[in-house]
Amino acid sequence: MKSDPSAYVDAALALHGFDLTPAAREAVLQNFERSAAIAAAFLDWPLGPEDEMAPVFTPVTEP
Amino acid sequence: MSGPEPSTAPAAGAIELARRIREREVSARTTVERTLADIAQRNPDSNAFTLVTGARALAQADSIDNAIAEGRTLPPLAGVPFAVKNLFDIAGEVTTAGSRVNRTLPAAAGDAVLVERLTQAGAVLVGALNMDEYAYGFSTENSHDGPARNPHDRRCIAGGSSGGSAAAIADGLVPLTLGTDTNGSIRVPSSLCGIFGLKPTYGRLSRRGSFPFVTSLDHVGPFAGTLEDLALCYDLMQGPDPLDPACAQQPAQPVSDSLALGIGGLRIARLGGYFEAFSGPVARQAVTLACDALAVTRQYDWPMAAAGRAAAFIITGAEGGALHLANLRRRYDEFEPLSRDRFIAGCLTPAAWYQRAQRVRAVYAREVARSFRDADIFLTAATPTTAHPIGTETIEINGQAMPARPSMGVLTQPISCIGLPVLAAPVPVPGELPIAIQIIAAPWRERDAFRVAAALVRAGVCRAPQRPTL
Repeated sequence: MKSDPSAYVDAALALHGFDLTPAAREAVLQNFERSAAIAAAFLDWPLGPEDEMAPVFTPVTEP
Repeated sequence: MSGPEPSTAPAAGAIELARRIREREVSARTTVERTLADIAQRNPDSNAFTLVTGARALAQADSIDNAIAEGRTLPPLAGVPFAVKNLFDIAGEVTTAGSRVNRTLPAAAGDAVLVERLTQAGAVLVGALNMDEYAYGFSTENSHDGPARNPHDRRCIAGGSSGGSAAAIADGLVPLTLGTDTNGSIRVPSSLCGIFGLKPTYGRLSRRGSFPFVTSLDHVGPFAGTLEDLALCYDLMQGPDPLDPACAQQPAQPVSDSLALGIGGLRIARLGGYFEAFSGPVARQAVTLACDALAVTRQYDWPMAAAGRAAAFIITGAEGGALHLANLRRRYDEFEPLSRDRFIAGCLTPAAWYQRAQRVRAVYAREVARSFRDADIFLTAATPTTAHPIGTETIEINGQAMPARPSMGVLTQPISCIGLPVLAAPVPVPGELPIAIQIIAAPWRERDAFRVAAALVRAGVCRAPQRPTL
């Protein structure tokens, strides 16, 4: 399946309420495409259900 | 009455300055006045300082001189000037974090914990230092405050994001500074300015009172011109902080006494693979000089380093972007033009990518933990190249063209991503601008890194190169 960063970026910018100039939108798209290319290094890395992110939450009590 | 003339010689180290003050060779006030005069006269060269806290510094210096006159026991850094990256809270000052947006925030009510601890140790805060906006960069090309300039070549970047922290040391303005390191922001400027820097184990030092960037990855740490000063400064800042949930609450494990231990029993290896591929010729030469001095012959590969670096990149974009989302939407024009579009792209990171990046990070951390069965210390370069001119858009690493600003951290990012302690130690390479190596230890084993650095200093391989007199 071919992904379409351009459509995603436009939709996500709209979702977050950004109203950018065409030049700024283009710069964001370029940065997103660079991130996507970098993320490709790990997106298919084989992970099992036991491979959790560091799952630390510290409960808080008032002193 | 005018104050003292600015000094012309390189500033003495922190330990030496403290001795002179303790033994009444010079007063704390004269020391601080000289530092303030130095900053006033020479800061335009490097643009390291963005704020000078003269009144506070002089008041503290006077109280130290009073303590000396009364014969009271002095703390170890009594009268020694220091400065901090401008994302650390300073009581009564606005914490700008290199931004324009933050300038409308109220002033900080108190000092950051590490500023407090150094002040309790007698050190005198003289100001705040230049940085990339919100720490998102490796070059300190700050459009609001102007770029920090490298003391070894003013046309070049000082590195970042803690560029002012490194430039102020390399310029001899102060002997100690503090910075932060999320992906390399202590080690990159240490390398490019040729000084010592420490990124401790993730969670070692309290971050309370520092403006965050990426909470999963943010570290705080010291810079110094000598290894002994770095060790002492680090030792004085250690200890738990129950009010910082990211602090691991470890008891202090001092390193200053480890410098004389030698490296007996430590197994040292050079990182190959990914790390060699992204090290340019000067970077590789620096590592070779260190390996030769330490008789290191083993090379080791961390096969997941590229995946780890990629995970750090995605985590950084997602957390950093989300932190500033509301302001990016409302006050876009006030953000740093060099990083605002990267920040927004980070805001758009799919949750599944972010979550996966965190899981890959955990797997990578376990892989590297296994490698410590075979070695205690790993060595690699801190930056792929030496400093490039301010404004550079593209750098070349072993024939591969890469975007300059995000790529200077390509060797540091895979290590901070998993929280290992790293000492950046300068290795002068003849005829080249400064560069440093990373001395990487297992979690909580900063002492091992200091032992190796001390051996390299004794061998004459590691030292802060003298700034050229122009």
